[in-house]
Amino acid sequence: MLKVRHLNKSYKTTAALSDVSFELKEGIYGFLGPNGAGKSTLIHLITDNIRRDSGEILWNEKDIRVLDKEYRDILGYMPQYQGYYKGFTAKAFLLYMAQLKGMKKKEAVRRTEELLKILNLWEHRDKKAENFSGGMRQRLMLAQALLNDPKLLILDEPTAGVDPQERIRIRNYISTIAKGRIILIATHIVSDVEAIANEIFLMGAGKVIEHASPQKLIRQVSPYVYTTTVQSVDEITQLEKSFTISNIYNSMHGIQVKLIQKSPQDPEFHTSGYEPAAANLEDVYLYHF
Amino acid sequence: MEIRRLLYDKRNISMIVLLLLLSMAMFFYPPAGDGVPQQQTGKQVEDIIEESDRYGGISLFADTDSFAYKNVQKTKADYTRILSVDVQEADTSFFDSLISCETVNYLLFAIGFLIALSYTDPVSQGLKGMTYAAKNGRGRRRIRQILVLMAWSGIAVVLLYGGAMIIWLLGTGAEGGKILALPLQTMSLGRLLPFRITVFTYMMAVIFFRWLVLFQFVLILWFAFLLLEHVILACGAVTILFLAEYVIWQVIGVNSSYHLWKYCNLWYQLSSNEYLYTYFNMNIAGYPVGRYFVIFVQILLVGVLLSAVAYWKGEYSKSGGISVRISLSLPFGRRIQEKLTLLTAEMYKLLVMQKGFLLILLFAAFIVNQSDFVNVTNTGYQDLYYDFMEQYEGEPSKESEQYIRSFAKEVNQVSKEYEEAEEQYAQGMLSDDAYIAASMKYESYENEREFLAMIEHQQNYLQKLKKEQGISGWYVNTYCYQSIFQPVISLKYGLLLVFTLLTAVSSAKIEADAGTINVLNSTRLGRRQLLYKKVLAVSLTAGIMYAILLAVTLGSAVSVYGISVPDAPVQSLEWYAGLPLPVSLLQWMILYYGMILLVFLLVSIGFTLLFQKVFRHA
Repeated sequence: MLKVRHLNKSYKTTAALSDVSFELKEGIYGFLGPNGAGKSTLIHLITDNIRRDSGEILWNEKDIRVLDKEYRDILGYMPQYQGYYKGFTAKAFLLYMAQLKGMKKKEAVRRTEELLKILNLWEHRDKKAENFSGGMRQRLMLAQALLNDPKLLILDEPTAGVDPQERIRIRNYISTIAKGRIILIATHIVSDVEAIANEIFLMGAGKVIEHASPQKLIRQVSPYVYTTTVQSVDEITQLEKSFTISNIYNSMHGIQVKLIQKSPQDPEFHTSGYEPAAANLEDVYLYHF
Repeated sequence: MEIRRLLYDKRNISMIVLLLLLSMAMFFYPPAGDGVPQQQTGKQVEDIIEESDRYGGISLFADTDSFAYKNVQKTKADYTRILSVDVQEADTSFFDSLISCETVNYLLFAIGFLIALSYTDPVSQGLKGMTYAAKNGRGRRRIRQILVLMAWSGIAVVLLYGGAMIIWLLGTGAEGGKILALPLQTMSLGRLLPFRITVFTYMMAVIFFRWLVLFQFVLILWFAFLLLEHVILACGAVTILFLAEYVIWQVIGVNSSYHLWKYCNLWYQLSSNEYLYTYFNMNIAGYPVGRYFVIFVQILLVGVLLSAVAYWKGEYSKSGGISVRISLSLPFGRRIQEKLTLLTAEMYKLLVMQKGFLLILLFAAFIVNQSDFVNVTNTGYQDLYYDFMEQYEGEPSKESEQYIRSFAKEVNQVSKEYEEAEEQYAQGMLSDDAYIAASMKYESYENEREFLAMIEHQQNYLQKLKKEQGISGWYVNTYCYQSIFQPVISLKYGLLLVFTLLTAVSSAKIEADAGTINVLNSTRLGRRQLLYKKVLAVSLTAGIMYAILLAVTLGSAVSVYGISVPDAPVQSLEWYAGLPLPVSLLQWMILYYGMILLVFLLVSIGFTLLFQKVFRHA
């Protein structure tokens, strides 16, 4: 179990994280939030890459700093920015990372080959990472994170820059390996976590604003999601004063607009002309941010 | 925007600045002058003109259509121009140093490499696709880049030479300014250049030529990058070109009919400054043309040709570079990568991925260039000294002392005879012929007197050593050990320090460049263990460079002098008289170089730890 208690981190005068607390057991957790919400700071703190100002991060009731190498033994981290050595082949890079993870040679070779095959990189194992496409590099980064069969897997934007087919493949693979692990996914791509996460944490301005299962979050926002049809772009501009525009679709009958009500307790709000619409996690995101 | 690209490359720009500062420091080393007083310049010019007239009378030079005749006439005309130049006495040693310091050429070579490297567009960066699609992203971009390379080459040279001159002027003030206004022939290296220009104008010309030569090298290297789209391949190709140029330069004689290839030569122009201070006419279609002018035209032609090809390639060539079509995943290379341990991975990153091997090669080339392996500058008294050492080096013996006594007797006898001749001649008791004969005999013993002074000095020192410290010193070849025990505060060690620093920076920066810091930090061994391996890798690399320096230094000494009685007590060398250790020269050599190695290892460890901290938090 991973416990985060009253975590605080500031950069000069900016509070990157304010009193963040949560507990994670086995499962997949999505962390959603705009840029500057504190997701990366949280990840860097959990991966012990930066020092916290105050608070605790506990793995099985022990502080991760005290655990030190023991903690890093169970940790797998896939960073947002694809860090790799240009001159290394994919296989050589994974073998190098396996060494850094303290794996024995035989186990490292076995695990490297296994992951290269699972992630469809086996044919490209002898090619240099610099010659990989974006999607292939993402898979390589995922492979290095999984080398030591981590109990805590941190994925920062795991599907960024990847085509839809690849995204689905990665997403599904993450889902298959979730048993017996805590998987923490920080992402902007809402649909990825919507499909596989057990719980979503919405982060904004360094705080956890809301956290619940995707279904629950969607149910909470559903009453405030509508569609309407307008005839001109000017009308959309008018709508933006009261609503957050979720989607605009030009059809033969006019411009169909999906919108989210900004203030639900507004007594002046009238529903005529607005049809309730099915909400999704993107709407949840727009509702909160 | 293109011109600022080099500035964004923090590693390259900081290395360039470091190399410029080091180069500038080398200019302030005192040069070895040839000791010819400036007032004798006029006499030498007259001699050249007289010689030209004499040549006119030889049949070989009589044919007016021949190059030989035209060359003689041109030489005479050129030198007649400076016959009336008023040469004054002035200390121009700094400017002589600026011209004669060829060591700086190696550093300019490194600077040129870094400039060219900053303007490559590796396929991996994906830049080619983006720029190719842009309106001005093809041929015109190539021409812009060439102009930028020209600008940066010029900036580097101007900063280097101009910066050094400004520092010198700040130190010398108005006096220095006056020297700049003096005729070129005031300079030791300029005295036989037939141009009626000032020192300042000449220095501007030197800067211009160094700029052209550096630009030519940068352009060729950049062109190789462009063609091959692979740094190591391009470096390899240019290295082969350099080697070929070097061989051509060595093989072709000065008076060969192929001497155009000797001087229109990349190796020659980059490594030597001789063409800047030596008057020489080349045979161009039977006409004598100044070498500097031929080199200027040649560089111009190379520039135009490469620019045209680069433009064409940028504009019309759609396919990738040659390297894209060559599979570089050689089984050998792959197997090495897959077998790397943490330590060897750090060495691989440093030497292969960060091109550290180029640094080592450059360092080796510099050290070898700084050393002599053949004794070509023996003076007469040195020959006598070596002969003595060959026979008598070791403990002073009856035979060695007897030899010195007999030698001294002979030399003193000649001196005495000369003194008597002088006295008698002054009193009119000796004829001119007899006096001249005595003078000539005395002058012919100059080397013997020098040698005697040296060996008696050594003899007296050994006697004093025995008397005052009770140590029985030996006769040892001091030249040998001067070469072996070179001062640590010297160019070689300074360069070793700089290269160690660059190695430490590279080791720290690779993770920052690759973006792997956070991932490594999250692994079991990616913190302290990895740091230890990095420290070890940098130390090993510094150790390799140190070993090269040591091997070349000792190799040079052994090659030129041999090793003189290594069993001798270390105090046999006068500069170690106060050393309170009862060790032999060989033992001291081991201790001496061991201590220096230890210092450099500590320095490399310190640098590595420092830069690791800097780049981890950057």
